[in-house]
This record gives sequence, C-alpha cells and structure tokens, in this order.
Amino acid sequence: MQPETPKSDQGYLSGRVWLGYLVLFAVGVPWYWPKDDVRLVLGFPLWAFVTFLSCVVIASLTAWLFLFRWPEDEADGDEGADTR
Amino acid sequence: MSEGILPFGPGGLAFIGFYLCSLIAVGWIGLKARKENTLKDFYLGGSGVGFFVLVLTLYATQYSGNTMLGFSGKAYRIGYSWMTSVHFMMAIVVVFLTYAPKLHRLAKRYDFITPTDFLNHRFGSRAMNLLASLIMVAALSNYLLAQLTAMGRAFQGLTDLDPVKAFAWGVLLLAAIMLLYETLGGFRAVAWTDVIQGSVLMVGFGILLVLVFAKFGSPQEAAMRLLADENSRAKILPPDSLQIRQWLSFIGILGIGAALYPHAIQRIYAARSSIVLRRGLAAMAFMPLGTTLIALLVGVMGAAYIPGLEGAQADRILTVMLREVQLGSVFGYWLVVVLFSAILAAMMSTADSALLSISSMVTKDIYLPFMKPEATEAQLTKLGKIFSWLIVAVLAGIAIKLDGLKTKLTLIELLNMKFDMLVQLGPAFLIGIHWKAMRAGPTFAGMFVGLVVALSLYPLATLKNYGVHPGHFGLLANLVIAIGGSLALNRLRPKS
Repeated sequence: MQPETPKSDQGYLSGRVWLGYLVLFAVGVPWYWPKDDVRLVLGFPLWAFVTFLSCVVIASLTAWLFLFRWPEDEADGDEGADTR
Repeated sequence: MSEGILPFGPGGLAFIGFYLCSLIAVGWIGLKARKENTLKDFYLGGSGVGFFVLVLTLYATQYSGNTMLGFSGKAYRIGYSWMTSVHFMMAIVVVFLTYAPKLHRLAKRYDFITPTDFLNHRFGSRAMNLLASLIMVAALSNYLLAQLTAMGRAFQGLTDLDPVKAFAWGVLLLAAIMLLYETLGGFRAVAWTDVIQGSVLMVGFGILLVLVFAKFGSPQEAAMRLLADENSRAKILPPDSLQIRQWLSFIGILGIGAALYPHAIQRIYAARSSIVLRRGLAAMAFMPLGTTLIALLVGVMGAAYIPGLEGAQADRILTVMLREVQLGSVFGYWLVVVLFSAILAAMMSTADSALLSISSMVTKDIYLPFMKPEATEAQLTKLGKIFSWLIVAVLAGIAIKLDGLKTKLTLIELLNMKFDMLVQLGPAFLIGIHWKAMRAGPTFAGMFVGLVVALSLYPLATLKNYGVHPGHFGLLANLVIAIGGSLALNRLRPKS
C-alpha cells in the first residue's frame, strides 16, 4: 500500500491521538486484574493476552500515524539558536 | 561437558567463522564504496540509506544481546510480568513519533551528523553541547560495555575452555572483528552488516519460537507446570503493585531514553528521505511483537521446563535451552548454529552502532570545538577511528575485569543505568524541537540538575525497592527548571 500524500499535521500529535495512547496503555498495563487470576487463553494468562492485544493496537495506530499523518509540509518557523 | 555449553563440531564452527569473516568483507566493500573522506560520509554514509537498509539497521541496533539473553533471563526470573518489555519497546517508537519528522527535516536542511548538532542549532550553547555530549558518550559506553559482556558470555557457551578465559577470548575476538569492519567502512559497513545481522536475527527469532514449542511443549502445558508449583506460580499471575510501578517506570524511562539513543538519532539523520524514514519507523512499530515477545516466551518456557537457575545464571537460560534442542537431531543442530550466529549478530550490530556513535561525538562534539577547531575532515575521520580502538580497548578491559569479580551484574542491571542519564536530554530534544519559547540557559540548568539528581539517587536502594527509576526524579526537576525557567526568562527578558 502506498502512503498517501501527507496532510500537514492534521491528526498528528493532537489531543485525541494522545488520549488514544493513554487509553491503550491504561488497558495494557495490568493494574486492574484480580491478584489471583489464573484464567488462561490459548495457554497464555488472560491478563497477558489483553496486554498483547493492546500492543497490537498501539503498533497499528503508530504505524498509521507514521504512514498517513507525517507532517511533511509543516512550517518550521524559527528553530535557530537561542544563545541566551 | 557442563550445562550451557553448545557442543559445536567443525561444521558448525566453520559456519560461524564464515559468518564472522563475511562481516569483515562487508567492511572492505564499504571502504570501496566511500565517496569522500569526510565525517558525513564516514558517520552517516553520505546521502543516506534506503528503506530496506534503514529498517534492518534500526532493527539490528535496537534489538541487542540484551534482548535475546537479558530479556529471556528476566522473563525466566519473573515470568509473564516481563510483558513490560513489549510495552516499553512500543513506547520507544511512540516517542519517535513526537520528534522524528521535524528532526529529519532539520537534519537534511542543516547537515547534522551528531545529535549535538541539533542542540547546537536550536540552542547555540557550548555548555549544553558539552554536557549533552558527555551524557550521551557515558550512556553509550555503558551500553557498549553491556554488549561486550554479552559477547563474552555467549562465547562461554560456545567452548568448554575455562569460563574466565573463554569470556576474555570472546570479548577480544568479537570486538576485534567489529573494530576491523567498522574502521574500514564506517556507517556503510555498520549498516550493511546490520542487514546481514538483522536478517539472521529475524529468521533466528522466528525459528527459536517454533523450536522451543516443538521441543518443550505448548504454552498451556508450561502455564500448568508453573501454576502447579508454589515457587513459580507468581510467574503466571498478574503483576503485584511493585511490579506495576516498575512497569510504568520502565515505559517512561525506556520509552524516552531509548528513543534518544544517539545512534538511533543518527539513523533518523541517515534516512535518505522522509518517505523512507516514515515507512521504516512504521515497520519498527511492529518489531516488539516479533522479537521482545519471543524472548519473553522463551524465558517463560525455560522457567517451566528447566527451573533452578538463579540470579545472573538465568541470563544463560537461552543457551541452556538451545543445547537441549541441539542435542535432539541433526536438524536441531544446524538450526542452533544459525541461532547462535543470530545471537552474535544481535550483540555485534548493537555494539558497532554504539561505538560508531561514540566515536562521532568524541571527535566532532568534543575534540573539534574544544581542542582543535582547525582540524580538517580527513584528520577528524582518522582520529575518530583511533578513538574507536581506544574506547573498545578500555571497555573490553573493564568487561573482563568485572567478569572476574565474584558478584556478577545481570545484563538488565548493566542496561538500566544509562536510561536514567539519557532521559535528561528529553526536554531539550522533545520539547525544544516544538516549543520555540524554550530558552538555552534554563534548558541547560535543567539538564544538569536532572543528571545530578538521577545519579545521586542511583545508589539509594529504597527507590529501586519501590520500583521507580531515579531518572524520573531527575527528569521532574529537569522539566520544572527548563519549562519554568524559560517562562520566567521570557517574561523578564523577552527574545527579540
């Protein structure tokens, strides 16, 4: 699949993107599971499987942002030396 | 023959020898491909690399001997709670998202070679340049030391020589080969050998998972075994509150720290175009699923089927498991030969990138501006090569000396310290690249105070026992000073 022409910084680093990451990491970090949870899915602990799924979604979102929301024509402005 | 020794015959050893010699040949080809005797050509490969080379060099650089030996060892010790590693490797790519697009554009426009070139462009502070360079050189030296240690340990698994001698020979032999191809071909040699090493590594990880399940049993059986034993039950259960704190701490410290690896930043510079870079980083987003996760599963399977390795010994679980596979069949033997080459590849590809980066910073950011501003590009390139040999000589000596000590550091312990230092560069890079009002003085002060806080707190066992990296406290102080100071300064003395 060819990446389409990037559209300035629309959607890139926006509040919605960061909220998405926050939710995905909050679901992925297993802080909310009962201490003695021994349920297994396909031989893996259920909590670890959920963490794995969150990682798949994080990877997909990140790849999508790189491919389709890369801020190619963002104005750079003044990044020159601040000598003070 | 002791457990953990891989009994390779002449055929297997010849394969590994051929593989190592091929790296030197690539170095020679890199030398022939040289277009000019300049720093940019030597340290970034001239006009840059394409998608295929970029992905494999990023991959081979990011996934090291620590990933294969250290991560499987850690999973062996704590079980599925080491899913942390998949999360923090993801976090690294997410942090790239925040600054790589703009940094790449600036690097192409202003011909950056080292990470400090960006800081100099953005802040123009010699004090900050020096401090940032010293932080990066120190952090990468720590990393290189960990890779050299891993090389020694891998070599121990290859021979039935006395372990102390085997370690020393392993460090010296593999470091010499690495230095040779790097001196010959610079970045081209490193990136092209990364293509070989990255490919071997990817194939190796894939084979490894299939082999381990085929030889030992399914994840289901492993889980039942671990649950059946009171001592290993915790390896299946959700992490406790301490482990959750460690998990969050690792995401923060590694996500930011490893995204600011100088050699990773230089690969952002080296991408031929923004299309190459964005495709490369998109591919990198999925790598933790095929690499870190496999190292984790290997460690968990090891804990279930080969219990009993303690402390630093657990880092040898992969070697011990490979030995079991190898003795099973001729097919298993040859697969393990390839896998062992992959392990060597993982270490050498990370070490060579770190070394090249250290050499570029010592030469361009420290020697040139502070010692000999009139040096020519050819003199600097030659000096960079000499520095590489000196740095490796010193670090190899330290690795061998440390191995002789009775208390052995685990690979994870060696890995950790550098991130507490590297995260202190976060405000200058990650905020400085976007926030135009950020000022040089407060940013330098924040970096300095953050470093002092992180290093002062490092020896405190209390923090470690609480599960939080000291680098976070340094980063907090750093942020307050850099942001608060910039805001205050802008009020008192607005920029013209």
